[in-house]
Amino acid sequence: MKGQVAAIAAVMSCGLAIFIAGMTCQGSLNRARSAYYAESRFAHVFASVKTAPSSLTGRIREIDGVTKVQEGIAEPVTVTVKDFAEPVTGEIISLPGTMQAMGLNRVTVRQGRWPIRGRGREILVSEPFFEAHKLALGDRIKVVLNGREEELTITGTGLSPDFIIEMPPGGFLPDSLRFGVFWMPQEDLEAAFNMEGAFNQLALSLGRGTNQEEVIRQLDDLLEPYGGLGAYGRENQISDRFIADELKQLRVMSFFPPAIFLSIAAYLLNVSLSRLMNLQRPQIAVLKSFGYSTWDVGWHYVKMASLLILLGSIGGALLGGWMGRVMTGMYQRFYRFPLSLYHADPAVFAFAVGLMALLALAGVAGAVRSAVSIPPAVAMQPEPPAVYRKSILDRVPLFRGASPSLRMLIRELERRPRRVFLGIFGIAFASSGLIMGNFGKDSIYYIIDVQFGLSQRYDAAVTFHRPAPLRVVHDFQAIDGVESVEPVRAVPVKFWHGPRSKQTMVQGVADPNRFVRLKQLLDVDRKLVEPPGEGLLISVALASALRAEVGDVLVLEILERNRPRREVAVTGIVEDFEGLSAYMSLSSINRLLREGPSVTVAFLRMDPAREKAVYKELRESPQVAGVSLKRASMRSFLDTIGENLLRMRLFNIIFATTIAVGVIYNSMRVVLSERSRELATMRVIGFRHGEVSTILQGHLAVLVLTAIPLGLGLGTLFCLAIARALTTDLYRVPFVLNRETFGVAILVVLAASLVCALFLDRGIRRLDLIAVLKARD
Amino acid sequence: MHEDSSLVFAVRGITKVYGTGGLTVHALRGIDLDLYEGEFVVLLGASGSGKSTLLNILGGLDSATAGEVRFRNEEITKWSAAQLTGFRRDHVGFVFQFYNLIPSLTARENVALVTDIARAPMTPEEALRMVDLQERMDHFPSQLSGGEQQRVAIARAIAKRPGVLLCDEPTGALDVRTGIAVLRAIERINREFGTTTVVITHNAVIAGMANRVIHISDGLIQRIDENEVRCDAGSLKW
Ligand SMILES: Nc1ncnc2c1ncn2[C@@H]1O[C@H](COP(=O)(O)OP(=O)(O)OP(=O)(O)O)[C@@H](O)[C@H]1O
Ligand SMILES: [Mg+2]
Repeated sequence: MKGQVAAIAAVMSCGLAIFIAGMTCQGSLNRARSAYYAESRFAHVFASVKTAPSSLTGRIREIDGVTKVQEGIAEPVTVTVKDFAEPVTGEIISLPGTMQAMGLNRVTVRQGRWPIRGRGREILVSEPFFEAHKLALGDRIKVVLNGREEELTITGTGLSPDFIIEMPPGGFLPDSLRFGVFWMPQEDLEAAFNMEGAFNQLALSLGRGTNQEEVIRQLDDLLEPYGGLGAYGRENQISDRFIADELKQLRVMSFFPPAIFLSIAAYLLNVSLSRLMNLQRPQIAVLKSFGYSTWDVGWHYVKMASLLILLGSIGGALLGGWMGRVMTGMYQRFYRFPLSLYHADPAVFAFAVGLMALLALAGVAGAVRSAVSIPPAVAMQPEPPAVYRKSILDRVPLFRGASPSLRMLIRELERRPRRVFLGIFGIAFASSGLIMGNFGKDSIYYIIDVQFGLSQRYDAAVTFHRPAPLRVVHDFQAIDGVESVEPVRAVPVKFWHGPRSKQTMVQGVADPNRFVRLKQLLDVDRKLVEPPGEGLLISVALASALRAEVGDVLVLEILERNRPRREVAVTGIVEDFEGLSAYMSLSSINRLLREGPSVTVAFLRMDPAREKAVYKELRESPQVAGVSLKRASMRSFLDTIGENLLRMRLFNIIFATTIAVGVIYNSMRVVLSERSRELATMRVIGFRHGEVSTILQGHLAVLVLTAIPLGLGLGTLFCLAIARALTTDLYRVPFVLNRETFGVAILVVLAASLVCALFLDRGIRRLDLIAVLKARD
Repeated sequence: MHEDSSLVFAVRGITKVYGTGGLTVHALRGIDLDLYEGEFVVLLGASGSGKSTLLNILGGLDSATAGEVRFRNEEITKWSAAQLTGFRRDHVGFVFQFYNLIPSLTARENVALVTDIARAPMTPEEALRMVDLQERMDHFPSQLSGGEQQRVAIARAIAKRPGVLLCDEPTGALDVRTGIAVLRAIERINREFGTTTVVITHNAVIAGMANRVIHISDGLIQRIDENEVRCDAGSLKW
């Protein structure tokens, strides 16, 4: 019994731990987000504009429902930090005199002090950037402001609600070494960019019940003459969107696997208890004949089960609390809140333990009811000899020559189909857990493969402050070390398809006959897609968000300049894992905007030996707003995601293995104890220990070998469901499972079975032959 | 009186102590005994006197604390567990009070379990015919009466043509008539095959069937009676 108790408690603990970890982590993030948004007065609506006079804010404030308006300046910058050789970019944002003067999106000083204007260029630096570069207060960094490189002094570190996660523009992962946020006193920044009395960033808060769409429409109208780039709500604010997605994904992940694990644990408890009660039938009968009520006797077993549940709950709560803290810590590397994050919500613990107890006790109640309801007179008799029948297999000619031990095995399996079925399902679920555990890795490596390997053939992506004439491409080409350049014109747009609309960026792809293609577009089968001619290519994510297919016509509005609108036909769907993305030809975008050939991004392929020199040239170019290196982003991707992934995978594999061992061990313990008498008899009449073991091993093999394919199938289905549930506008999670994942799952289950087979073997070795013979049938 | 070549078991100074420390039970306190080929021996004694313990040691199911048991001049008390398994497999047939049939196998298959692994077995059908069960060969234990089940157990024990047949209260769970049928089967095997047979019983009447009756009390052989005339099972009354 001791082994079984441990196995059941372990499975329960695992189920609870996953549930608690996921839920508290999700809850902590959610709580931190709400609290922080409230405290820092996170805005509801955001807008960028080329430049608008500060006087405009008066009219904006008059829009119905607007409660607060915060205007400011934000500009992309390139930065040089000490001896960090690779290009660093950032965003510099204006700061009023004090924190209290900030109506919205208040910056919190984490270390040091608020920068003072006019005091030799003081700035706040975002905390992750500060930490990544191991900076100190008082350090100076070089920032190119409006084409002039200036030395700025760090007076403190800050965090703000619009940069809980700091995404470099165009990137899809935070990279604190190569992208940072900086805050500078408003007057200093205005002076640096010649923007006195003007703004280019706007944040609004709205009163309760305000129609946001309407506010955005009116705001767009007001900003249009000043080069408005389209206002948007929180749901499109990049930092908030990432968190919202993350929370959504976490909700999925903290429901699926725990639900499975909890039901397995409840099932185990049920089977073991009904077995125990069968063994104790006579004792139950004696107690009842002494006058104990059914309830008294039942209560005894319920207490026993409760003890087990308590044991599992303590383990699960401790493990879950610890894991929740670790997981939250992992998220904290991406999502920065100025508050302590992990909150071990007692309600989550209570709910999880309650649910577990409910499931387990329901199982126990069934077993108790059937054992206790037998009248004492009947129960005192030993259980009648098990009734076996000739099986269907007895009619199969092949079976006629079968050995008695094989017949024993088959008839035993046939006699208890329900239990065999449940046992198989238990093991299958555990195997599916192993598949799910590796699914994240498979899909991420697939993305890396496609994204960094097949699609991105460039070494660096250079972004410009403002659209630059196409000839910069030729300037770049002339730089010593640059091998080839591909220009792109990216522009913010809004698409409509029927009632659906989405705001995103369109990338204008240059004529492939004139430029080498450094960013390949691929379809879902990883086949090369021809660059767009007159039509539009959209990503799988955008296609599903708009319910659009090839051949459909979308309405496109460019959110720049004269805001032209046009209908375009979808000519292809691409798989780029960059979320909602779309591609047109460079010339058709230029034409739409009524501009000459101009570009905003250039992809560069470089001679690795001369990289440094190229960076230097790029940094000195006044048009360059930022340079992002593929190698660097790949490394940071692997450093951050890779490490988290590894840890999650480890958790998953440990759990699934524990569960596999728990289920197999328990099922087989029950079989061993039920069949100990006949196995001992076989030993007595001269069967060798190994020959007897074979019978149980055969039983185990049948369970495991049926369960494995079933588990692989279930796992595949679960992963498909998870991939669906995890896919958001920002990320499309590809459904990919490697052969290796199946191999690992099979190996782990086989290894678990081997361990159980060894335990069984030991059990048979320890059978007390004489004691068994003394007992009645 | 017997020649040495017909000596099957030679038991010398066997003791068996259960438990350790203060709570020890001396089940056997020094047994000396010779059993010969073809003999029919009955063990009589009060409950707890050590009969089963002795039988189990003879059959290689249990080990003695001290002393030696020789089977056809081989000292089995020195054997490993694996050697004892081989000994049981090739030479010993067991019959117990509770029949210990495999419930998932038919009568024939229960016997086949043994004939499949024995060296020179009879067929399961032959063995079942010896116990008059040829009609019920394809029935499962749950479909057989207690006496029939016990006869299947006997068929299973003798199918390998064992040198010794050890029966621990074979009629203990049966009424008179079925008990006699079972004893008759045991007797027949003893006669026809010359199998050395040891039967434990609480029923002194059964002692009439034996060549020798060994009385055990408190872990010691108290006395051994020899019957001049063996009565057959059919004439027993109790
Ligand atoms: N496993 C054991 N542990 C401790 N004592 C034991 C064990 N097996 C038997 N004994 C003791 O050894 C003594 C002899 O037991 P044994 O079973 O040989 O008696 P028996 O003569 O067969 O009795 P019965 O006629 O009741 O079957 C008894 O006192 C019994 O309590
Ligand atoms: Mg006994």
